[in-house]
Amino acid sequence: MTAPAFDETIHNPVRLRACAMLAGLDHAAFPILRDELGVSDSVLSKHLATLEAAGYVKLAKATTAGRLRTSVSLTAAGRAAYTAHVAALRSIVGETTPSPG
Amino acid sequence: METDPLDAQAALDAVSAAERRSVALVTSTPWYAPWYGVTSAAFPVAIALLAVRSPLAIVLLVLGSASLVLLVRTYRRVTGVWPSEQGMLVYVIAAVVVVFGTGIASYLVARSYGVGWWLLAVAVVTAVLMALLSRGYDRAYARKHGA
Repeated sequence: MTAPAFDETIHNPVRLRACAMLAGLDHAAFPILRDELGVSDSVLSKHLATLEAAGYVKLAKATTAGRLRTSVSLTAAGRAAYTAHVAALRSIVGETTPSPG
Repeated sequence: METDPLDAQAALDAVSAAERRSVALVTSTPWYAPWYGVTSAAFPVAIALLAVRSPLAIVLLVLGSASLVLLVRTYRRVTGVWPSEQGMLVYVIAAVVVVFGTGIASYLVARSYGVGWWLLAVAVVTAVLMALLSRGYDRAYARKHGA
């Protein structure tokens, strides 16, 4: 079981939901993440840049059919930090169930 | 840590909702399992045809491979995601065992007795098994990620 560790970088609502979506995925396309989170391109870019600077996500760009496509994935450090953060949230509310991820 | 329990609970609720959406995206393709099953069936049939040196074997191998690549590309384009294989290795191993198990068995039978209508049964059984495996993967994935 992961030790709880509250992470201010992840705790922002948009970043937390982004990490939650990415936790079960190998990667997600930028537009899917944007639509699911209900934010604009620029807002998502800003939050992903914060997560990327912390080493929590990796952005990969590839050109397919002449269009630049960006995919986002959690790094191992990001996955560990997210799992620890969710464990911290659970310990705050008094849950003892194992954290996801 | 300044977060109070209500904030933490709200955050956990948001986490659960996002994880459910993630699972829904991964498992939202009812066409994946039958396509995967039919495509997978091409390989044991091709392996059996190799035993009788049929040129159809190469055609089936090429078509099967192309269909598999197209399936993955289509899935990625439609869903925009690719599931994590973490904890799902058993399904990958099971798929390899089914395809190569039926393939090797069919090869041995074809080498001894030649090919015939029994190969159609092999194709159907493989397709059904692989489609069921794909559905099983979806269910296990949903369970693992709390949906």
